[in-house]
Amino acid sequence: MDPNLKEYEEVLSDIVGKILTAKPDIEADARFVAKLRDELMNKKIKNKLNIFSMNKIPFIAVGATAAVAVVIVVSVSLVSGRLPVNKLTGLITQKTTSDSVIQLSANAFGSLGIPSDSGSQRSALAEEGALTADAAIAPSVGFGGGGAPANSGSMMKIGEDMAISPIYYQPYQFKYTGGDFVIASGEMPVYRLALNETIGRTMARLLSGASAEFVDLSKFKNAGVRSMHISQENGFNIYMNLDQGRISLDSSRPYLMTDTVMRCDGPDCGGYEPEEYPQLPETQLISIADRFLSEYGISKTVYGQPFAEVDSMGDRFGFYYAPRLQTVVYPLSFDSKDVYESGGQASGMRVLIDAVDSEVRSVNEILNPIFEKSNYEMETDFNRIIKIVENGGMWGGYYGAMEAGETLEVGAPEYVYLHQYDYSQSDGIVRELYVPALKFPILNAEGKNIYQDSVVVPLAKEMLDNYEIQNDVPMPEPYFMKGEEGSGEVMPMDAMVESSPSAQ
Amino acid sequence: MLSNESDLIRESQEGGNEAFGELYDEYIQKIYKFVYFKTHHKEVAEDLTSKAFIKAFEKIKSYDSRKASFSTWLYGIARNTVIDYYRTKKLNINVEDVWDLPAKNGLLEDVDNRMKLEEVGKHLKTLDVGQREIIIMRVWDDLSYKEIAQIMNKSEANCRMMYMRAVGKLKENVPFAVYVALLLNNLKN
Repeated sequence: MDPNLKEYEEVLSDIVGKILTAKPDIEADARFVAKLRDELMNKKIKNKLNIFSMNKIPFIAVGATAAVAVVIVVSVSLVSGRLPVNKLTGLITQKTTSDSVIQLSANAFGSLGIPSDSGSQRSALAEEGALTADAAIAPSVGFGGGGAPANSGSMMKIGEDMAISPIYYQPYQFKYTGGDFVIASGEMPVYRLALNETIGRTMARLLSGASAEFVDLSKFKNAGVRSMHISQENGFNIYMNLDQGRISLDSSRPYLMTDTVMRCDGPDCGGYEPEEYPQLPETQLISIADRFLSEYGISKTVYGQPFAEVDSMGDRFGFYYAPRLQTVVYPLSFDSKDVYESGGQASGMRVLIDAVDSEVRSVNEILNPIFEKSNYEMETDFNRIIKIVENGGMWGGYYGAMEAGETLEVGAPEYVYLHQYDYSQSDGIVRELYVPALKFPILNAEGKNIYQDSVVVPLAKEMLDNYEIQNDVPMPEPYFMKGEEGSGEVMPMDAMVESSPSAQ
Repeated sequence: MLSNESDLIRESQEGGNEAFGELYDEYIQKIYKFVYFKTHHKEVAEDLTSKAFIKAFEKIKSYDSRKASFSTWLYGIARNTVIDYYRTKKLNINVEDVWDLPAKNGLLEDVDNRMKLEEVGKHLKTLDVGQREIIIMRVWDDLSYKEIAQIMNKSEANCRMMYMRAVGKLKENVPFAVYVALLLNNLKN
């Protein structure tokens, strides 16, 4: 090493560690990726949907009957006032059966399996051989769920005597401090979004009856509309994922980007955006959201009590700031029990309200309110559930503890439903299940590096069985950064410095 | 890079939607991350990534493989989309990415990454936008000098010169300058 650099070795190591570990470990959201892909593909199809290219219209075989579904995308520009959007969304969310819940026989959904990401962190580490006595995990993103092991291209291999990671997070320990709890029943209903009852087929019939000028849609038997994008001038974009039974609305007004104002350096520009936004009171936010949903005929029948969503961790650490778009959550609810994601966040419809003008900007996860339900066997051994809770839940490692042995206390549970995706290899369709679960609150989250405020464990016996079979791995030890760039090959610090022109 | 990328590009240029879909599958995560590193906000990054791919889709016929690789072309579109985004904000300063913004800027920013990004930002903000871009593209986006030069519409030599100037500018922050020097000289092309 260049003697001139030697004195900076320690500081250099620290900065190297900081910039490498500061790389946000992010992935594009799978739903966003799929939605954009659909949009791109649909643009293409829309352009090609003419009599001269009919042979390229994609057909999709469905089931043994080889029924054909045609992916039809219709972009309709609604001139405001000519076609009332509230009627349209009313049509979209209308019930297609007299009951919003369809009772099926027991175990009708087949195997419940376990969440695909369950134990992934620990499993991955086990595969990499990282779960050894001297190995551990360094989260590449600091908080909540611990992030993935930082073993990708951003890591730097260093000499054995030199560690460059500035922060080592330890996995939290979990301890159940609530009392005994009796699980009420050995059999409970699992719900599933009823994809067969979505309005795709209804819309297809309407469209096929209408018959476009350039193609006779009625010729495509058993056709189903998969997605639609309706754009209202100076109003909303309405994205309808019909075969998945969900709709989202998004303001077509450019609220993130200003309309036409380009870069402005002069003194007369004015109109700068405010630096801070007011936090609207929860009652006001809910009132705005309720009014909007009512105006546009969006059903709330399958949702529980709404609440304003606040960044709980930001709030706890004092760096919370009111965002411009403030959210009201309408949690999906079955049998008066709300649905939660695995990390403890409520699952349901979200209404985003602009704090500047108190207008609704978007509504996500508007579900077609038709569900199927089927009874499944539930675990009644509470100790078995506690064992999973004290392992950090099915999704494992909550990293963020600054010291080994730091403990999160979890209290007595409440019944909820767990939202889970269920991918079927037989037909390639992702279905959404809502499984009875217990939600354990984390009692001493104050000041902890975690986003989760609870641990959610499903009760379905089959899921617990599968989890235990597939995740028979020990809890990971604290991470000692020995990662390597890319596939693992980054030069040791000494070698790096020596090969540097600056060091020669 | 996909082994059959040139075939997919040609099919896309001829109107093949599935071919473009395969290119999309290959690049969506890379482009999203590239945009995220410049915006630090999920929804904004999604919005701009969408715009970039839609532009690419619409302009695919104008792509010329003799001028640049497809990835470079795509990154270039994404970069310009981000620059356009910040330039259309009513800001009284010239901004090309989120690193240029003052601490309280009124723009959306993810809270979960903010603390870490603020830490590294203390160093990165001492560089000018071009120097900072080079570092981020090299370290986080794992791009080569050649690719960076094409994306930034500069010569490879110019990019290397920019790094030298960055080092000179960072005299007062010697450890970081040393880091920059090491990083830019030693990472593989």
